[in-house]
Amino acid sequence: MSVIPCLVDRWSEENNNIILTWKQNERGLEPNQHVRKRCWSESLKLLQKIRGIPAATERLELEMTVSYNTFLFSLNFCNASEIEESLTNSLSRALEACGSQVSCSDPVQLWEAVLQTLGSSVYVPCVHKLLLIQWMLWLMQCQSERVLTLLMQTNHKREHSAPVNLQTETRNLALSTEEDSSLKVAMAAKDLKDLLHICTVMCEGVEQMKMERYSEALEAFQEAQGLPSPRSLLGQIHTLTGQSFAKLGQPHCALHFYRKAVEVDGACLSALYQSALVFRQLGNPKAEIEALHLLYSAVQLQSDKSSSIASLVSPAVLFGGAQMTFISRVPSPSRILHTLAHTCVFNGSISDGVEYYLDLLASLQSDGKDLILTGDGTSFPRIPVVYLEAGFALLKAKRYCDALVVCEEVITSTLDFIPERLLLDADEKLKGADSDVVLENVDLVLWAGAAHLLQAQAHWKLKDTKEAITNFTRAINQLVKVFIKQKDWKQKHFGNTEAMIERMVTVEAAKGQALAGRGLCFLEGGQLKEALRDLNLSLQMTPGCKNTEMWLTEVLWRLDRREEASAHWREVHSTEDAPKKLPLYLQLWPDDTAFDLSDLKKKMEGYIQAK
Amino acid sequence: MDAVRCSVEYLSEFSDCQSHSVRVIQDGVNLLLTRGDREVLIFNVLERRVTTVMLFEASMIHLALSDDKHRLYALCANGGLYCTPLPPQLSSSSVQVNKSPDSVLFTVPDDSIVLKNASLQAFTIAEKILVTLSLHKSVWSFDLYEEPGSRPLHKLACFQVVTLNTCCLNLTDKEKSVSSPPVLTCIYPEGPTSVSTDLHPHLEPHLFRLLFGVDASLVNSPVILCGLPDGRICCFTLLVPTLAGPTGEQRSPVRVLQSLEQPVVFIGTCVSGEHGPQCLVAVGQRGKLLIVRSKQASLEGKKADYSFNEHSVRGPVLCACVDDKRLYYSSLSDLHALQLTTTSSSEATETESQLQTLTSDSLGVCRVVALAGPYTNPTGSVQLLAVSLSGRLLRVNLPQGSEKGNVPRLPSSLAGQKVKDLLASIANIWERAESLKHKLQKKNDSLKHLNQVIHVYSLLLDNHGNEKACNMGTKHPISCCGVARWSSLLQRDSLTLTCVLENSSGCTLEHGWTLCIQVHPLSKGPNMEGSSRTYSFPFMKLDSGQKLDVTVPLESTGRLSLPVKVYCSLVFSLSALFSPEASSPGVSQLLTETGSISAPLSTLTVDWLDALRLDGSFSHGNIRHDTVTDGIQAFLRSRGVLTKDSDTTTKSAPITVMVRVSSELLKTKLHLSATSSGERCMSVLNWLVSPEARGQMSVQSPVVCVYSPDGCSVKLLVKEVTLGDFCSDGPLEVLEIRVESSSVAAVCGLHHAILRRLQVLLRDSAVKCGHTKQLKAQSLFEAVRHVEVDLIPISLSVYYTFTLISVDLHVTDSFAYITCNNIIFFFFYCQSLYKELQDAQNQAALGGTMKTNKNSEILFRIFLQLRANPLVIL
Repeated sequence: MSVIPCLVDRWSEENNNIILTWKQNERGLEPNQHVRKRCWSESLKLLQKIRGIPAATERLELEMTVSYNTFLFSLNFCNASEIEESLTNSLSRALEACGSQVSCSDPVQLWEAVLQTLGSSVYVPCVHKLLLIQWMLWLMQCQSERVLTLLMQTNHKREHSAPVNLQTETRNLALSTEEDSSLKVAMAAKDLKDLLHICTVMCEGVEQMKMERYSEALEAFQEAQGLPSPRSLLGQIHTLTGQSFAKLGQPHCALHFYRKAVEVDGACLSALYQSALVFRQLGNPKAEIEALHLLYSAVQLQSDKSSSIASLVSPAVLFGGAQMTFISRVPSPSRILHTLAHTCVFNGSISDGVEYYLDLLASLQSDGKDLILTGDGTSFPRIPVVYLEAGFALLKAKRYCDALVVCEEVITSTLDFIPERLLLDADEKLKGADSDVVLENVDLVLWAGAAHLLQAQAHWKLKDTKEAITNFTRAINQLVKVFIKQKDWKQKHFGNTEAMIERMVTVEAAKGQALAGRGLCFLEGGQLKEALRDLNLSLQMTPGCKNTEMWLTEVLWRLDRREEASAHWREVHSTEDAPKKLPLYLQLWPDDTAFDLSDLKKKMEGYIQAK
Repeated sequence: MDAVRCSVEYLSEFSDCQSHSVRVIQDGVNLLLTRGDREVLIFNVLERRVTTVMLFEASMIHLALSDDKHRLYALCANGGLYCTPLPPQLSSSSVQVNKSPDSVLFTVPDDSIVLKNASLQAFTIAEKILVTLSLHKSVWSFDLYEEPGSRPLHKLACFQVVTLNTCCLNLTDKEKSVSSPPVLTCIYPEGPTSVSTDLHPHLEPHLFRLLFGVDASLVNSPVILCGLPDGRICCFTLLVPTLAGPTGEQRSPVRVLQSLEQPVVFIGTCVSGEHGPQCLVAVGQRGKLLIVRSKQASLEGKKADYSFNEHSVRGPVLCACVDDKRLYYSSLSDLHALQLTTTSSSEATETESQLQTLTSDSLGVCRVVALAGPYTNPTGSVQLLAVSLSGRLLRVNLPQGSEKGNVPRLPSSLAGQKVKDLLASIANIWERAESLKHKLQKKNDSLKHLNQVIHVYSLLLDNHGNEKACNMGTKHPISCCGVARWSSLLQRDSLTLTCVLENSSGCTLEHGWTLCIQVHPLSKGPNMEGSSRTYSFPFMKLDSGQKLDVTVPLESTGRLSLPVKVYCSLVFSLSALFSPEASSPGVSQLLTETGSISAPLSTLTVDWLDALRLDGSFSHGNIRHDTVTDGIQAFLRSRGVLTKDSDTTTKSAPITVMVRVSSELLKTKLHLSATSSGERCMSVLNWLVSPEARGQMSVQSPVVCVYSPDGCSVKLLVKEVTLGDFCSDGPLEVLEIRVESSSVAAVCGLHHAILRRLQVLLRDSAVKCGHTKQLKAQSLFEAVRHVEVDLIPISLSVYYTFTLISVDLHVTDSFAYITCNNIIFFFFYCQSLYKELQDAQNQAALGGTMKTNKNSEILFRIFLQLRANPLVIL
């Protein structure tokens, strides 16, 4: 009998030594993962030793504490079910030590038995430690129902008639967390309890958000804000609050919380991203670009430093994988960069946009490639589109040669896919994969055509009219390959998909631009008849294009058809450019006209007044 | 056919392998090898020894090196993916650090597990991304992890593919996948900027773009191809997996390229062109070969496309690898090299080119389960490293010529010749096979035949053994009996023996049996040396129930010497078992030496009685007088010796010989039913003259006049007399058989024949005649003594020499035999007389004076005396 106390002492010492090692490591600047692993294996060995002899009350406290430590260490190395199994084993042994029969392995019933047997004994602190572990495990598995049941069992002594609610239960939870100084623990029970509390509340909120019950979610997050929490967690809570506000239609409130989040935690990327989204929604491109730029720099900084898990129990571990992605979802660096570049170019800050596009292309082409991923379920645009956008940006930035090179890439890569003729039957109902194939083909033709178009424009800008005409012609030849059987597809909706209509409109616009461009070239070269033909055709394709109308007026004027010219002139001024949803690379630009329109304006106004 | 000759070197030998999880990776001079057990062996090819053994916790499933070849990733059967740095001497292979001959054992620790997932099936590493494939609840999921990363690995992405609900997959997901694990291959587009890693195959940009899309091509991203056990080949772009679909939504990055409908064993690229390998090759387990080639855009502006060509090679394919022009694959029985070509430009020759692709050469290496390479060594030859099922590490050196790829296509004329040659050799082989079959058939037949022969033989031997036991009772299954007949041919009468062989057994006497009849004269005359003759009658077939009649002459060298013994036997010649050309010289020698087996059938005796003629139908002129007497007379006359007196004696009066037999004995022996004495006499006469063969009673009186073979008339008569003083208990009824003829030879011959017949009749019934008649011992004794005293000193007359008979001696104590013994004594004395006579003749020949006259006188007297006191047979 004298051996047993001696053993207890020795094991306690062993446990304390392990914890001491861990604490030293934790305090160090660079927490070492290997230390953690060693601690885990050592405490696991100790636990196995303790379990080697029959359970007894005098060793119960020691055994439970060592179990608690082991479970905490094992979080990174084992999955939840393994830990749970071991936990059940611990509970059974505790019951055995007290002499009660263990009848079932269902954790809920087991806990009931344990709480009944040991609920009023001196072992309560230890039991509650293990209870925290159970709570943690269920939280990791998003089993909030079972957490609620467990907490209710713990609280059952207290009288309450309020409706059962996890939040209130958590709030009212009274656990005895006093520590025994002779037996050290890896993480104080109180700290763990606080962490679990806040995570549970957040979890609730996220679940509400997923069910689109934003006001309820807001309540949960507001409660969470009141709880003591680490900085990063608080930043996330603020972000989630902001998201809820954004969803509730209060973008300014949302922006406020996002700002708070960034103030609390500078590395809260999701707040930056979300604010960028809000700025776009608010139509504030400048702010959006700024937010995106910040986000991009932050992402790059973060990817540089290795993310190591310093603390024993991190919120990332507590939230299951899906929850965590929801909470801190940020697109991949490439996606952010593209969004940034696109926004820049779209909103006229060409030089920045070009730089970003070139960065993006470089990251795509470099040997140390990054995996282009979109964590949030959005998808990356097709690579040829990115190239065309880059080409467009370069064109606008007057880097014509670069634009030519980038567009050439698109042309060579799409060359093999261009069909001889692509006849679309609007009546035909295509499903799923077939429709995708057709759309893909249309896209390929469109990309090739657009690439030629951009090249022609670059040549035009380089004053190489001949080459420009060649490329315009090529663009036209490519684009006319797409052909729709029904003439009146624009008016009637044949039950075709939106995507198809959109594609067709885009193709028509590209055709119109190509024809207009060639017409302009002819006009400049003095081939007025050809110019007239092309411009007329262009207008047929895309009616209401102001520039084209004006060029047509010029041609007519030069052909001495002044009546017609004046009619067109009037028409141009009466109509407004219809806003069209066109891709960035087909966007019209005010400075597209190569020659001075003021001359024409003077002429026309003179003529009309003279009449 | 000219197989591609290759030399095979045995580098090392290990224990047996698990065929599905043998992996070989070559890294410079080192070879990483696993045989599906817990070990990874690092084998130094130059030193030909295992330098390091890495011991893992569980048996190995898959093995791969990281991009920089500094780390080894190993997937084990316990679901753990281990990452362990390679030993330092390996990474710096040029520096020979480890010089000790012993290999280093390195136990891979537990904490080198980077991933643990029991459903992991395969993995690969490319672009610092670890791609794993796991099967969980009939969903294949591709997981992408950062490599080298923190532990646990940081998961980058996950895509899923649902398994096909084919029955085989439904049954046992686990089992199925173990037998044919999925194949993950990473394919890079070949390009000026692309880093040339020798760990992953490349593909020319054109086909790459066509197959994997614009995006992958623009980004120069490698593509992960996965051959699933259900036969589907899936692919996704590694670096840009999640792209917007046509309608803006996110689409599944994993695309099914094609399905082989059988587990995929290998995916690779082949046929080097200007811009890199031009074909994508996939091989299925059951021999389906998929070759993907690009079709050039034609001038009409038709869209460029790629084509899937499916071929079949002989499965099962265990493993495969490719080089510039060839696909090497191993079925269990052989290692093949398959020449692959690019598609020809025009459509018309496409079929031809497809045929060309299928010229597969056997390399003659069997049981290869894993391949690495091919590698071109400094001397320019191509080498494959192979591991055989029995655990041998082989280095297969491929011939130089094939490496250059100038294996010329045969011109059509030569091809025709080649086809002819091939056909001829096929015919040769067919012939050989046919002849072997024939030989085998013959041997079987011979054995069957021999078996039958032995059966027949044992049947005959049984006959022979039981001859005495069942003498007359049952008929033998195979029997031979003979009858002597007179026949007239060319105005000459001759005595012939007709033998009938009857097969009443169940089996057929086949070809090879011969009926042998040996005619052996019993009497030995001076000119009769070696006078026994053998007639053999081979026959083809004697079915059960059939009879064979043969006739043999009894005369030899123009004279008839009676009695003759005829031995019938069946002989089988062993050489009949073999056809002459089939048997080897040794066998034929053996056969000529001890080439036959023979089985006695029966023994017949033809005596004077058999040769008698009842009718006088032959002309007297035919009668030959060349009897011995005449011959001797002629001889003597030529010597100037007159034998007048003997001559006159023979001519003067008929000579009579008498045999007396107890009538009771005869009655019981011959089963005579007749009661009157006359009938009894006739019956006995009939029995003598015409035994069973001559039918019913041909003799109607107790006296019959017949003709002897030499034409003398002979009178045979039987009468019953009563002897009063012979027996002690009253008078004895005896039958007296009397022979009367003027020819001494006939009388002697007949006397002997009758005695012989009686002897045969009485031989086996001697014991039964137990009713001992009290003979007058005194008189018998006297008779015996008299004979003894009188006969010993004298020489017998010449003609008695013809009656010499070898009779088996049956000496018993019975009385009946004493009388018989008299006869035997008689013959004995005759024999001694014959000897004396011979001596006398020799003397005469030497010109010495002969006292023949006197001798013959004495002899004749004794003979007369003998006749006067005839024997009584009781």
